[in-house]
Amino acid sequence: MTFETFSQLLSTFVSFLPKFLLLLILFLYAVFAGVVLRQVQLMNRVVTEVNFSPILFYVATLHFVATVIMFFLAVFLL
Amino acid sequence: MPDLFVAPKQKKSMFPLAAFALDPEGVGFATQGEKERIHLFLRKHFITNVPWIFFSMLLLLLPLIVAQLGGVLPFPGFFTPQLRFILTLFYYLAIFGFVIFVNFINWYFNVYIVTNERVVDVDFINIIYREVSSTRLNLIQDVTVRTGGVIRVIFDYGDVFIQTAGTEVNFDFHAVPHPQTVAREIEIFMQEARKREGTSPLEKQLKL
Repeated sequence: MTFETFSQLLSTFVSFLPKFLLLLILFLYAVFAGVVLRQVQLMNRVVTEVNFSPILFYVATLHFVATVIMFFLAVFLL
Repeated sequence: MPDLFVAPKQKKSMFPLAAFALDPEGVGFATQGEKERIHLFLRKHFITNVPWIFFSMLLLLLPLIVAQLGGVLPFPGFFTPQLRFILTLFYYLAIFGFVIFVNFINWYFNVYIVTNERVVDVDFINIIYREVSSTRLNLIQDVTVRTGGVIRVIFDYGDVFIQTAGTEVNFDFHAVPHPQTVAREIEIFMQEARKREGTSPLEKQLKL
């Protein structure tokens, strides 16, 4: 392997590394958002407020959906 | 002239972000009995949220401040415009998820409930751990109020410690509004429960 080939490979790796790391972080964050959504759903059963519990669930759902959209946006854009 | 018709009192649902509610409507909990009525619904005083609210506002404004000072956001040169866009979006989403929403539901779901039958403590420790404990009112031995500090005196909030009989779990109501009122209401219900249900078997044993 020549020095030029090695430096090309290295620069390709360096350019892909932030994208790969970001995708990994976004995936882990999506898992976190899913856990939050599930916990909100369970806690709404423990303590129920007729007016506010649905709003909280919708916000958690929106947050999860936004995370998933962002992940796929990152996959296609990057 | 006698009244022909008296309209029933319109009961309003409890304000969703209330930290102190007497006889609230529109709220319930999982193990609530059919005849069980919630008398006191408590959370930590809203002022306890100020630190994370302030911190999250600072984080939200941070990119704007940095951009103002430095002219551009400190991204490395090899970051493509698409990567910078995704990173910026993720930054705001992460602030909302990690800081704002998690802290809010941590405050919102940490509730203390006093019903006509028992005391319920719902502890939302973190996003994956929660604890629900309850005890009957006639098992309560002692109610102690502790309040101190400038902020607590100004906003009238403090801790209420409920000691129960024997090996039962003790309850700590942290940073609840109007702690004296909370203690008084608990004691009133405690006395009523003892008249209705009698004292605990352990107390009877100790008295003998």
